[in-house]
Amino acid sequence: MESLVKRWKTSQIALWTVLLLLLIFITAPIFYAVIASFKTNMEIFNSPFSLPKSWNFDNYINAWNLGNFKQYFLNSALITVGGMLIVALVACPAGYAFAQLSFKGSNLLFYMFLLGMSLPIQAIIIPIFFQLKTMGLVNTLTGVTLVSSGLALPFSIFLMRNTFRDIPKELRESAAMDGAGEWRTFWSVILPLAKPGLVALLIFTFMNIWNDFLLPLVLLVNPEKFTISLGLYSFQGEQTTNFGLIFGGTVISMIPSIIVYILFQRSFVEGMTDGANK
Amino acid sequence: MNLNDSTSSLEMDLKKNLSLVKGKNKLKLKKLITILSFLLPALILYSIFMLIPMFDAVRYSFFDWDGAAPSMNFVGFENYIKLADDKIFLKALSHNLLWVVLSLILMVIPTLVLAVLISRVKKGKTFFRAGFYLPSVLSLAVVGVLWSKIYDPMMGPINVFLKSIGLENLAKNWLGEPFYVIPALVIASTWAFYGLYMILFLAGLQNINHELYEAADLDGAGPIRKFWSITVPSLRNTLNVVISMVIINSLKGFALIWIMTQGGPFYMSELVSTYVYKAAFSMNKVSYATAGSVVLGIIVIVFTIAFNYYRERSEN
Amino acid sequence: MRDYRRLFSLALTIVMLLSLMVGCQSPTASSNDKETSKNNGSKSESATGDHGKTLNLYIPNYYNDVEKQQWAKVVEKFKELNPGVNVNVANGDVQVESGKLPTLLQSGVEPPDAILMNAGPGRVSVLSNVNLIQPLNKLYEKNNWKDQLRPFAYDLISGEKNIYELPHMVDAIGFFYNKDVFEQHGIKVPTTKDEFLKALQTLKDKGVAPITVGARNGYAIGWLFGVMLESAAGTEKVEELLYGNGKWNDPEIVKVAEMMADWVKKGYITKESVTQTQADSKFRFLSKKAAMEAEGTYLITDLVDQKLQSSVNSVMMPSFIEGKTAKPVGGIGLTWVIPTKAKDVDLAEKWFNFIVSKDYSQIVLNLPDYNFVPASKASIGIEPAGEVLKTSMKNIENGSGYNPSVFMGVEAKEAYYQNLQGLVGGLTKPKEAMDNIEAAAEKDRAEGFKLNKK
Repeated sequence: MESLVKRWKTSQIALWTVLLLLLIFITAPIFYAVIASFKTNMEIFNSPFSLPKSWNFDNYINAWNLGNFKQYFLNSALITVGGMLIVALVACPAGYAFAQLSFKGSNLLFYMFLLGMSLPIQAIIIPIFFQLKTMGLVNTLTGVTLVSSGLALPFSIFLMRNTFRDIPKELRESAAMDGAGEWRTFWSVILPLAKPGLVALLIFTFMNIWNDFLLPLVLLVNPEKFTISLGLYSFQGEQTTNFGLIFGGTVISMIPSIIVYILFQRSFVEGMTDGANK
Repeated sequence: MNLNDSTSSLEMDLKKNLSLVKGKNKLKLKKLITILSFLLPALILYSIFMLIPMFDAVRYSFFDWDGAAPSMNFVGFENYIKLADDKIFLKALSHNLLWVVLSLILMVIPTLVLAVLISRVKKGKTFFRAGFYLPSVLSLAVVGVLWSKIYDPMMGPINVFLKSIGLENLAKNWLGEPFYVIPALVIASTWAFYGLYMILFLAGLQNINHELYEAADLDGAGPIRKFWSITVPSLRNTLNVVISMVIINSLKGFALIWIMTQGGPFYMSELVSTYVYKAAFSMNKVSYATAGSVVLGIIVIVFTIAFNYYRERSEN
Repeated sequence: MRDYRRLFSLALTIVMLLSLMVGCQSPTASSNDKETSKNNGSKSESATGDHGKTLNLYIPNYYNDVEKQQWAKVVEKFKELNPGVNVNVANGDVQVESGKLPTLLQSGVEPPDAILMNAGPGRVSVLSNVNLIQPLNKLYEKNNWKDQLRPFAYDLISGEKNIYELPHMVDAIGFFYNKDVFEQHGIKVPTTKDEFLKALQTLKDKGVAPITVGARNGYAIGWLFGVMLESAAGTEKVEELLYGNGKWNDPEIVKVAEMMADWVKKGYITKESVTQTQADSKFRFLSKKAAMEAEGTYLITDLVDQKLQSSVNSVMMPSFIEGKTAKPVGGIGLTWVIPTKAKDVDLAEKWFNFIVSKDYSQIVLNLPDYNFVPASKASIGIEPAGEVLKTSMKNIENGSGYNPSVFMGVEAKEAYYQNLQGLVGGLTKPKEAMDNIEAAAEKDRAEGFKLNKK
């Protein structure tokens, strides 16, 4: 028996070592970028794998101010927060309707929304551009916010429908017996119970919109409107050879998503597993 | 995406309605309005930014339009015929397929093995899960910029490393040689996307009955045999989901390629999405580009539907 | 908690109403759009006096701080000459190829009054064909701009019925070389074909990259090929190609492509060039890791920025044709256009008059770090303060050769960029590459693309 425990222990240690080495190998590009962002360009070129001689923040300061990441950051924040708000306000009631209110054609309608989930955005990005153009919203943050929310809807409704479906219908029925209207029931009885799903939705929306590249690329023109992804892209186009500065900008762009991920790691993973398996 | 539950509830609802006395029109109207009030915002937003553009995409593709002219000429299938004759478009399409195949090879089994390893860890499972997921949190812009620097022929760490250990010959211009450019891009994209699949596998692995492994242990089966004869078959549903997601996501690729190569050099990494983007937004060939994107859209949708059909049949 | 929910529902109502409004608006919005722009137009025409008006300019992203300061000085002078006028300068991507400029104009929102864009009939026509920019014929007549431009600059833009642009500067593209790299390896500045080829070989043998090019940026590989065309095929041949009945797969042109492929094979053009951007390549050149690069006068600001004025100079690739001298290649580099929906054409006109004026040329040419050869006649007599620019202005006195990228149609240019990239990457054969370009040029011709020159 003892030898079995021992064997088990050695195998665990071996497993740990293997996984840890693998993890270091796979995340190496991230560490490389972080370390390089503290180096001068010459240092990166001459000794790419050593630690920086001194930890100076020049690359960050320059990217933030001269590279205009300040502005990009703000734009991304506006678009992302706006998008999260719209998605939450629009997808929750819709998901609720699909999950809890039975009505004719609900399946058909739901399928129609699902269609958008598999459709590649590239297939409709050109008409979206012209659609937005007729609305006078090309090259505006509002335009990007609205389109991002619209494109996020299929998955969001799908996710919220699943969340609401897990809530027993009896709750709704008993609330109705007490004379509460549908909206009232939704807000005061059901929605509070759907909090985990809502949190997952918000995190997903955050990640999707914050990290999006194609929409801003097509819809935004003026650099002062750029989001952080687009800003980083155009920044590396202008500064291609200043690795230090580019890595500074890259790390700045990474930070928000990593923070959100670390804070909400658990609900993130759960939401994702739920979303794909149902 | 099992919709049976709501179907049955709809039926029940219908029966209930039928059994009730008729003449509740007022109530019905009220109910309709309530339901609409829940759905309308979503419907509007979805229509403006997805449904209408879908119709427009098809519509544009039958015209000859440059994106600005006040009038559009109807040309029927001419754009599609031109596409079928467009060597670069066909090349892009074949690159898309190559991309799918390479993604499947790089993504599915390695990620599954990783997930199995993580699931065996007793302490620190969460740590590994979180750690290995980290790359997937980054935006594609970050991934693209990061990896184009990693692949840089002069200053990139790969080549600097290879040169420093005397393997000059292996130091390639990763994004510049036809043989390497697509694999190099697929590796970067795998790095960015495998996390999601890993988590799906982990979730699937949790549901495997442990007794199966114990029985196999008694039979004296080794780890590799257990993997192929227990793990893989038990994960069939998860594998189905993952494989379909890998395929769909690889057909959707754009950002990484645009950032790292813009489809170059010499069309070597051109995908339908990059080709279409260039045609529409820098060459004013709006209709032609839309036709190209419609082809891509149809491929993806047909595949999705076929796959779901297959899945439903194989699961029942 | 309850208040929070009320707030939530209030927000929901607002969003719903908003989306409803947007939804109803979409089918008719386009006509509304036109009306408002019309109204704006008539308003600005009826208003008199410039006081408190703002001129909105849209110009390329600054290469660096030096260039930013140059522009600040220019704008300052304009304000001094036109008191009361505000100038708002926005920077952005002014390339047609990247799609940003057409998008900006198509978006229909906030078009600037004047745009300084990458020039060339192939580019300008992308915008003028779809009426995104307006013809300037009347303004040309009224202000007599014809006589204020360098004649060859005017000839290049006035071949068609309508003129859409006012040239800002003329390109003078040739090789730049690192003096100390040449000296270190005992290489004299080559003046003949043999000397030039020998210099390349010597550099290669000594382990220095002879020529670097940023082939990922089409225009940059276009510069290099343009310079090679000028030297190996001659101006007339290129002129025939662009304006006459020349074919891209003409044996003489194919020979130049073969030469380029050969240079890649021999290592004269470095292998890494295919994935380099123009900025990468410039960095390699300026950090002396490569001996030569094909560049325009743009480079001067970088030389100033990095204090390299004395160690870098320009050199013409000697003509490979007996008894000829090669000229710098170019055409119009940057050019001004007015968007169709520009709010204040009058102010744009004022600005254009300023650009062709002696005032303007005097200011910019007196800046030791100025990097453009102005397209105005007024600039001809003025001696530039900067050494490198002085050489370039001298080189271009007898006119210039052609940088083909600037003169090609949409299809041909895309094929030109891609196939040259293919050549540099060893991914295609010279004959095939030129056949592809010719096929694309044929497509352009079928679409009605034809260049005319005065």
